[in-house]
Amino acid sequence: MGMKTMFMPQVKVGMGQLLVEGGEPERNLSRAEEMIQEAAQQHCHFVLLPECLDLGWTHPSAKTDAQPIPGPYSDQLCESARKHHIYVCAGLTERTKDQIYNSAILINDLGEIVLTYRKINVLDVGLEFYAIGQSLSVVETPFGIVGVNICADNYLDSIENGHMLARMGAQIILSPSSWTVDFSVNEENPYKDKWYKPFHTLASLYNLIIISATSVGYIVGGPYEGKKMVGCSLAVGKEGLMAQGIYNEFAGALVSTDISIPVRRERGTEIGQMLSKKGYSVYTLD
Amino acid sequence: MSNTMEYNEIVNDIGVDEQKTDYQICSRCIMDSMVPRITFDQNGVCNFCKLQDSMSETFPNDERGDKILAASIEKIKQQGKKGAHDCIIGISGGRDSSYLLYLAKEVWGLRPLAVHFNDGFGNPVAGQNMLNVTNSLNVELQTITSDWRESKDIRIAFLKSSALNFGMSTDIGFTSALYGVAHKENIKHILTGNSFRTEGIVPLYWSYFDGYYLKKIHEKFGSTELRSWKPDDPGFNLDLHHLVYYSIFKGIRIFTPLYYHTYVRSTADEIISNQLGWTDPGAHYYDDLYQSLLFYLERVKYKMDRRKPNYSALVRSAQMSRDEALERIKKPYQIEDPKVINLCIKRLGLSKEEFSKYIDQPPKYFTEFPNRYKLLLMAKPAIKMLSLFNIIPKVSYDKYFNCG
Repeated sequence: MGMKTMFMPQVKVGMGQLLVEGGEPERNLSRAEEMIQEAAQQHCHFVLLPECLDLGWTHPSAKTDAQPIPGPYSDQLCESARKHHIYVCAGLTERTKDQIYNSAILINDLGEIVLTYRKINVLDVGLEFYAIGQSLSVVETPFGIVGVNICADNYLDSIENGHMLARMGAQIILSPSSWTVDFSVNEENPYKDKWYKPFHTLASLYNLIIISATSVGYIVGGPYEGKKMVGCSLAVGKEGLMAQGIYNEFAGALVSTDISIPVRRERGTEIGQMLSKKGYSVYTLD
Repeated sequence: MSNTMEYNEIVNDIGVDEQKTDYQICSRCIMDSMVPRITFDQNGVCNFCKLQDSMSETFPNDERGDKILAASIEKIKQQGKKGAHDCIIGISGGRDSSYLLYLAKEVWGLRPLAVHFNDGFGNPVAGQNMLNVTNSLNVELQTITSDWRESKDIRIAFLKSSALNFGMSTDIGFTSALYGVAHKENIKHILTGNSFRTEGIVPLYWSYFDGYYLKKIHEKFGSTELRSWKPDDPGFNLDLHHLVYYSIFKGIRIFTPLYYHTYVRSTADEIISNQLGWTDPGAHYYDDLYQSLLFYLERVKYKMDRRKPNYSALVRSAQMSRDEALERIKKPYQIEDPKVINLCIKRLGLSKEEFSKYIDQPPKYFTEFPNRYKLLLMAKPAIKMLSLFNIIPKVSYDKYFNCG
């Protein structure tokens, strides 16, 4: 079914490196709205915002201030998406009846949530805050089939997550992130190939694009105090790096880029055969 | 007067007694008898006005100042001609440092390296300013980030100690960061955006700057250990021997060019807003969100108002009328925003009850804690010589010995 659907061959993507202040949802969401507006003004078709942009990743306020989805924070983003006629993918801290999740939502340009994902590969330091997600999904959009995961889901040792989204037909994987480095790191390429390698592995195997927007800011609470988020968001396709955000630790920035939506020809077991032809084996993960 | 007598006199006269019946306000500016160690002459003019007049002679901003400035800039260029940068400029995203960066690059033809010190309370508006300004001017920006665990612990230690100067850690950290980068990059000149004509002359009690004092407060009231000093990465360590190392052994000089420049804030605003994409963070000092809490605490607990020296300077420089200054200080400063004060309290991991407890403790001053001031008094003649020869900032002598 996915392959029969028509989609826009070229879209403009906004990678929103949002400044996230721990425990300050009002300020963070206000900046998120401004960034959505800016992306719309730059004629982006969709904008990707970071992980846990409401409260900050692993900020202790997750335990007390998380909101349901749908809820006031997601409503605010939905309203902004509707107002500016743009797709928005964003990470939020989600409270359910008895759990808190590190979640991401994809909102269409009518302001409706079309996909909700709960992070699976939660870091050990995050386990006191977030429960483990239990499903993966993709959704059809005007710019192809989109899958969503979050940050460490794309670790090389958790790359199965990306494989599954690819198996579901994802042409684009959107990954709200909160990549961190130690406070003393002060270099333009802070992650080396930590993120690029798994991104490019998936992109080149499946002919898909994986885009991650990470936050910027100083971590002021929780187990990662003393670290910071410095941007350098990534968009990677099968040919390699497509776009990269700037290095910064105190100011947000929107990086917009045009991408061609890749055509995925194989489905179902055809994918296994394609991988086999490429010499890829599940037993040699990297 | 002996050093001990002088020290005792300072200790015994903090001059903030609300019960004083002899309230007096300067006839020229708005400094008043609530300001520590203020004196008035027979015409009712305060000692801070006189100091500003004297500094205006020492640091002229007329043709004489132009010549001094031109010679200093030429010297900086010559000494830095082999490197990628000839000077370092500390920036915060506020008006003064943004304007200084503009002057340095566009007007004076210097090749500055901009350095920012991030210790967790930067105003996002100021952060955006730094990006816009450095990008517009095509100036490289290096950010030195403090270890949040340290900077948080120092701030809490100061609150626990009840000592005034609880904002000093940012100044110490910033100055250390500038020296550290200068050392690492082998740059001999650091330019700062201070201007006594617009910022004012702050009484010693309010602005006491002493790395040893910070260390001792932290040792007694802190809960973690500070990282040790490294010349390229000094952290919050800036004792006298570190200053001697940087300024005398390594020859790193701090220069305040705006002392010789006719600095009019409204003109600066116009230039940096229109040409560099700078946005006013909302108030002077508001490049740092922690200033909200500082102003509140200073007013409520220490009965002080840093706008007095600030506006007084503007009054003396004819950039604000005395009536306007008096009118403005009737109300609390606008940056005392309850939301931002709560942000600061929360960011430090304190409850409102804990914070209230710190407010209720009796106020204390640097003289009640171990400090280097006695040593500075003993070294007064040497400091005078060093400042005369520009080995340490010229203003150092006045800052420690003539500001009340």
